[in-house]
Amino acid sequence: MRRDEHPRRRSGILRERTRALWDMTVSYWFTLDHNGVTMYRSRVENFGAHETTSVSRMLLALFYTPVGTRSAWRRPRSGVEELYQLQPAVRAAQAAEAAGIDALLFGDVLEFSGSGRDPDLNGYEPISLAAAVAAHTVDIGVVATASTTFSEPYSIARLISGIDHLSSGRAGWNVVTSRVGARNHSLERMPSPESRYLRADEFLDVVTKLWGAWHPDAVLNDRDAGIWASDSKIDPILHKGPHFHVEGPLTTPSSPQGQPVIFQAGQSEPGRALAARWADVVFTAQTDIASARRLRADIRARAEDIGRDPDSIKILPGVGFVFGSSNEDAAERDLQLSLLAGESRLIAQLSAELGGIDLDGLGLKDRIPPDRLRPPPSATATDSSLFFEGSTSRYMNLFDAALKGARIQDLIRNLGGHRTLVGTPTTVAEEMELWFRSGACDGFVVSPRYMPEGLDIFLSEVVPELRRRGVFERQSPGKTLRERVALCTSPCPDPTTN
Amino acid sequence: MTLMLFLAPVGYQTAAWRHPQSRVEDLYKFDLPRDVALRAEGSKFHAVFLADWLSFGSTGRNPDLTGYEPFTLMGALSAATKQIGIVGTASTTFVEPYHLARYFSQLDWLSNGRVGWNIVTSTSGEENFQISLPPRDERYARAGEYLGAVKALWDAWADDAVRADRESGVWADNARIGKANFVSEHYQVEGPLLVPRSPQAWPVLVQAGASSAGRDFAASTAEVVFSVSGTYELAAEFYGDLKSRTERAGRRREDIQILPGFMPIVGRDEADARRLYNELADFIDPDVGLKRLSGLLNEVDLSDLDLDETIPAERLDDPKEATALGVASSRYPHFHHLAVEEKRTIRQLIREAIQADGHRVVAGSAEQIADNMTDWFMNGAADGFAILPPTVPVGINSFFDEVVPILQERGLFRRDYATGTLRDNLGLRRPPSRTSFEN
Repeated sequence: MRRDEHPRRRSGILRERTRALWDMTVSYWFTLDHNGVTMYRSRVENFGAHETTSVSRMLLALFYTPVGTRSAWRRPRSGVEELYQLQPAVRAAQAAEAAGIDALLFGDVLEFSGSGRDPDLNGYEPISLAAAVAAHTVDIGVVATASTTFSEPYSIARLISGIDHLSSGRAGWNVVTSRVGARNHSLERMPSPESRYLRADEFLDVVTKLWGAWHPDAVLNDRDAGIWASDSKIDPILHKGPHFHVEGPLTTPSSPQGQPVIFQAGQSEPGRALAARWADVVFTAQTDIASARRLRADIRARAEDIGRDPDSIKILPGVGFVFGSSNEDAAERDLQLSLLAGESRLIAQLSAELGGIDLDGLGLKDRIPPDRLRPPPSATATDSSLFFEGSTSRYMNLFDAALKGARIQDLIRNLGGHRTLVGTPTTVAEEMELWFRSGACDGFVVSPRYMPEGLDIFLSEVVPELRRRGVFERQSPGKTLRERVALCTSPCPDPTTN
Repeated sequence: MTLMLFLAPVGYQTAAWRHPQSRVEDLYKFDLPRDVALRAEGSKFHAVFLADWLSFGSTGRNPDLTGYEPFTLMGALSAATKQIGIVGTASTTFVEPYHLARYFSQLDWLSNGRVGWNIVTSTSGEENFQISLPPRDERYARAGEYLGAVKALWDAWADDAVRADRESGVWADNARIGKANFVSEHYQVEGPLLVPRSPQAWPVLVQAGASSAGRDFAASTAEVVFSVSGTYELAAEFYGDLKSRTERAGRRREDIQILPGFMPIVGRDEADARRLYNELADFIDPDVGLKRLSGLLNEVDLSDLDLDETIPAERLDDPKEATALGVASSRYPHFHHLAVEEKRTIRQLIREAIQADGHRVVAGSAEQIADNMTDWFMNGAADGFAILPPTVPVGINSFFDEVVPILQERGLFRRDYATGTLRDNLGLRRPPSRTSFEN
């Protein structure tokens, strides 16, 4: 029997269809009013109680930001004095591990932002930090970002394999091709996206071959015969391609996972193709449920087209949080948090994000007069002076909201690339459940906007709420990251069915 | 006296993993190197040293000497230890300077200023990086450029750039953050890094090459040198020569510390130590030994000779010529001497040469080993030692438990760590902050 022929599955699909129609209608408002407190409240009520017929479990990864985003470091307990040191990372990792979070994701940027006004979001070096955190944890996955554009596959294969050995099978690699960094690597300008993704594809081919070069039972440890490992079970890879010539093998045996888990971040066309081919987990930036569902369906379909089980690829949108005792309180805290960056700076940034429009004379409570807005670029626009790759959807979100008459204070709260949920822990859990159950994602990459309190509240209040709702059961200890990831899939197998 | 432990998790000698108590089953897990590092920290060692190879040795008879990937192991050890220095090997040939500068800067933060970088230019590994290695002298010239690039990155932030001023909302003062703007023949690096200048600013710079170009590079750059000297004469020659080269390069003699590799085989008495020495040598498989010996003798063909024969002198390259041409390793003259002047048989050479790859090996009582170290230290051959564990944990624990206390009683080795960074513990200066940040 095919899985989707199971009667319970079918009724599940019908339920999802109804839900999906509803999502289509509300997602637009949701984008408009990001916090959407009242709206998603009423929407969830419309669905009635959360149904727990499925026991699927979401995959949760914590994106590590030492002091939160933007100017959150100014908060009294931010711990900015310990920035880039070991202890804050270890505390966050151990707390996340105790709450059953599946993985810690360490981001990477290859260029200084150019202003020391705020620390760079994740200015840390992810590989050495991931290894250090592995030494102080036992169950949580440690995923380090590394670019395929400015490094060599042999080096990255060793580094990630090294973390996998040290962590007894908890390593992941978040593959990026980098948008910046050329001038730090003896290049005038960045290679084109097409050439970056061609290189990335061959890079992944080489890395996964290197990881597989030692047969898992190659090591014999035979003291009497004086044979440590069997030569016949260690093969060079002898790779020769347009970008790389790599003989291999690595100097170390197959790591506990064999193939450490591959995360991929980037949802452009070539990014999706790369993900479908190689990724176990895709880290996306999606702000509304309908487009998240479409993206997930698209990546799953692409994976299926090349012979992969679509359930073997997990889609995790990034999501930030601001909590309050009520939804209104949370919205106020969100505004205050944003304002830590300074009103004039925020307005200048908003102006820049909207294509450099004139916002002179406008204050927080004002709306942008429609005649000052610049129309969105056409889908084929390539004017890179205005829009860097990937920001078009962000521009559209802001533009639509401004056109609908959102106040500047609401627009400036949403200048980051990922979605921020603003509300009580319960409303946040509700929203996460909704996305998960309706096939918009298989889990989330969560990133509290302020540390350490944002993380503490997420772990102590949202996680138990998700557990009550049956979407985040505690996994048994001693699993590899790959085993953890495999168990997590949205109960909605075909997110396009609506 | 400075003591650095060569962190070979199952022993330095290639077949030491066969020792019944070796923890070879734990190899490549973290617990094994962590436990060894913690023991070294308990004995107040200045540092552990992580070697690296970028090429698989083509035989599975024995594991690679260290095998662990150094950057990740350094990260994990930074987290698991508190005071001991952690020196990791990294090649200037295969990693972009921007990455290497970031790794060390982050590791220095994670360890609170305890990392060192063993700078190598690599003599193998090209098959994994679609390049051809440049000749040795050019590699050093490039390494010089490379070092310029990473130092410019480490220095781009002023020490006082970070203000973390919550009131005014200024995290760091832009006027105190410059660019690296390093431009040379092979590298153009703009910078700066994303992290502020780290506790030590630069990792302690360690170097190990012993060719003439390598010595000059060390004299101008290195703060610690890990050398290979099988005998006192070789050690004293190297020590004297490198100290004078350092002075000629405009630095003080004390700006560079020379640590010859030293394998202590500690027994209850000399006879017991000799028994341990033989036990260890017996682990060496003759075929593996022959191959390695041939490598140590500048790739001479020994396949047609009986193990109990001596090597005809005419088969071996002249050590002076080979060294001058830069085609022989720094160990070559010593083995040539043993083979030709001392007329050792191949079997004897294998046992002697493979035991510590040309490094000094002393088998004796704890007192005898301490005497030997004292002798080199007091007589112009060493500022300390890179201790090569014969076996782990048994052999190295004997050294920790029996030899270190003697050195401490003699006032030659410290009883505790100094506060501060690895630089502080080694008496090395912290590079001063840049003064101008105009770009």
